[in-house]
Amino acid sequence: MPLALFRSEKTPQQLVQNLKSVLTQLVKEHEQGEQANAKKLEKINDDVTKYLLNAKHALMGTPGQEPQLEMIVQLSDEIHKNDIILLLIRCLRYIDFEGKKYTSQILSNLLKRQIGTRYPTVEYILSQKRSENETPSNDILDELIQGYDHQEIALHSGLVLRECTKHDSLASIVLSDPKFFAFFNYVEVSTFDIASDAFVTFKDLLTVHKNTAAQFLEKNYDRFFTDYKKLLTSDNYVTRRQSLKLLGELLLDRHNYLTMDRYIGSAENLKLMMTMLADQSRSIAYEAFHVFKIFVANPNKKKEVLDILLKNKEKLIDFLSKFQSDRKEEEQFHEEREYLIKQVKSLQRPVEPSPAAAASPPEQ
Amino acid sequence: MTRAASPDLHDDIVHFNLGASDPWDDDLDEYPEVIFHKVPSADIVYETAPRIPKFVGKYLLGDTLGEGSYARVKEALDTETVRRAAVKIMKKKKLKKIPSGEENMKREINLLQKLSKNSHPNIIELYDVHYKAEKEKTYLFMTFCCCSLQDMLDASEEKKFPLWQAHKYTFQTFQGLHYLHSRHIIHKDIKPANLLLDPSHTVKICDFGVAEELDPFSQTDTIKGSQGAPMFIAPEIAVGKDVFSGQKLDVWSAGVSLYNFVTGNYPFNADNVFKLYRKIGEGKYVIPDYLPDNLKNLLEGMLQYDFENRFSSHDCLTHPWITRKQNKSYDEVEIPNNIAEESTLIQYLEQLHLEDGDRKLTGHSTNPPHSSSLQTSSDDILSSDQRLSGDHMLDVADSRSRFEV
Repeated sequence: MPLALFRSEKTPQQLVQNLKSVLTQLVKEHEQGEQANAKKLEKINDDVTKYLLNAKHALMGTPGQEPQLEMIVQLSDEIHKNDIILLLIRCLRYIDFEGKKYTSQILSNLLKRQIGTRYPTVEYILSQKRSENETPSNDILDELIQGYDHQEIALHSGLVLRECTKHDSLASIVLSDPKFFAFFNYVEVSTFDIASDAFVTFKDLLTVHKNTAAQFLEKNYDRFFTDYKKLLTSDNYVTRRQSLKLLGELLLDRHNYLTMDRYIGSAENLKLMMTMLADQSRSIAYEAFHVFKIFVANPNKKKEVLDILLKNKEKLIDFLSKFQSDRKEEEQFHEEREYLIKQVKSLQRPVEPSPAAAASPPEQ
Repeated sequence: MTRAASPDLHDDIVHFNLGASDPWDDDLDEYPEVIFHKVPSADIVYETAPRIPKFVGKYLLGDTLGEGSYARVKEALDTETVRRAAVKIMKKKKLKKIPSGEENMKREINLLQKLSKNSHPNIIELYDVHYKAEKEKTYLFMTFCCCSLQDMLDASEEKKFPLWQAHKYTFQTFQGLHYLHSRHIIHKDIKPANLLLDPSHTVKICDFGVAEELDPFSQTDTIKGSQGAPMFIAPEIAVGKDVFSGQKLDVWSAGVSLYNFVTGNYPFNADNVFKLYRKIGEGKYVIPDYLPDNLKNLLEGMLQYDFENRFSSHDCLTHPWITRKQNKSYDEVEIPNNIAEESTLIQYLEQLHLEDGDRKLTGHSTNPPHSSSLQTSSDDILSSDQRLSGDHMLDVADSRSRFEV
């Protein structure tokens, strides 16, 4: 292979050793703060990028040249053995732009690699799980989540984190990590592309692995929905709209039955949805309609929910009959609207002792 | 331009208008003339009515891809976005002849509209619905697909897929099913004929005519009754139970489909439906020995007699045979027609946008290769656009069974 002549290292072992040593130097230089030697730093940075490019080529090949299987196996083994992944993620903010790109490509590629039913890199990350504390956590995933704190690396680490969360086992660690709740801030940061990226990750975590996500929601119901309410009432239009849409999706997923049951049993939540139903923005009101309908259609309404609906019965009928009636080519929406009007019209206070109240579980 | 329009040829050649017997074609009234003369059969030239470009809304309609008892599927083109689409055309008159035909259509539209709000890659997407009151026809514009998995099986040599290909399609089917189930929808008619492939070989679950939406407020997925295809029906239906799990019903049918993909046979088979139901009710079937162990295990889990013990769609998705990467082999079963590469709409677009002279120049580009013999024997008599349309008619006739609707 003629290309090997131009490379400074001949074996994967050497490449990984070189990479490790320059990354360690890079960290050391940066720790020195202002005293850092600019020239030296530049040299180190060039080396890092060079080695990363070599690693990328070894894993993913070059245009016109397929990667060699043996090389891939050895290189990823070495990367695992030397704990390069954590080091790379920690250094990510010091690496130059091209290098950041290579890093996220290398890590995504490693995460995708499969042997039989096994994913070696996923298994490696799982093996790094710390469980000394009560809540298990994982340095690599922690670092990746915190990547959203740093503007210059957020999109790169976000990409790798999303690749991780494609695996149920890793997604469940992220969900049980206390740092997960930082997402409620990340989805609202002022940089739009970072906030959007964080929202995509947030949504994936809650919708892709349905059983895992359903368990998470049931277990963390109070904390989750207290924080979620902040998203729903955010000043930011995009946050409000996205989170409202996601809420509808979550509640109507069969796996989240218990969560839905609890959510639509709360008068507070109903009030919130009714406020949003009257939102100035047409789109927000429309999304709110799709959550509001669940409250009304529920055959086992809690007393507190029923009370509010009854109190507003006339107003609701009036409101719903005019609600976005100019929506064109949305037969289904109009059908649902008619259905809701009918439902609201037929609402009545149950005769004591009420069969509906007896059927529903006691207040929590 | 057409032969019927040139009077000096009427004496020796009978003009057969193939479109005339076609109840779907509304333009046939324009070509009522059929003139009878005695002629030697060698002189008969078959030709179709000229293909007149037709629009429904912003969509330009193309050739027929397939048809069933109550619907016909044509290729279509969204002229605003240039997106390829398929259009399912249903006539009210025909729907009325089928038990609960109109009801099924309404249900299908309703479910597809709901599903298309958050489209899933493995579910067919409904783009648009049009209704033409004067013709009493409903047009459903959906994801364009090339063929069903059934068509591919039929066209394959051994009537089955190599393992890696069966794995690929089954995995995608499971993903689609899992999504449907999470949206409270039970398909109730999973079978290879209802699993379509788009040009990028992505499985799209289609045909929601008999699907059922569960009550979102009920914690169980109990359903009553089913109208699936006999071969794919689960034992709880074959023995006539009253209530059963909806999800597990789909898992069973997907299991029969998977069995079919990898063996070319069905787990239960008989000469008639009664015998078939009895066999399914007995629940005895054999998994061939040559299949790998974890695939056998998956099939056993999906074809569990008692639905309580049967795999759920989540179990299927996380099963080792599914999560295991399969190596591609060279024995791929390919899409049995070339419609993925070649749109039937080109001829209509040419009619719309090119002058007669131009059409002759570009005509050859849309001519399939096997048409050369036709061209030499009739080059002076037929103009190029007629050869074109005649040829495509042959293609369509070959592939009538492409869609089962």
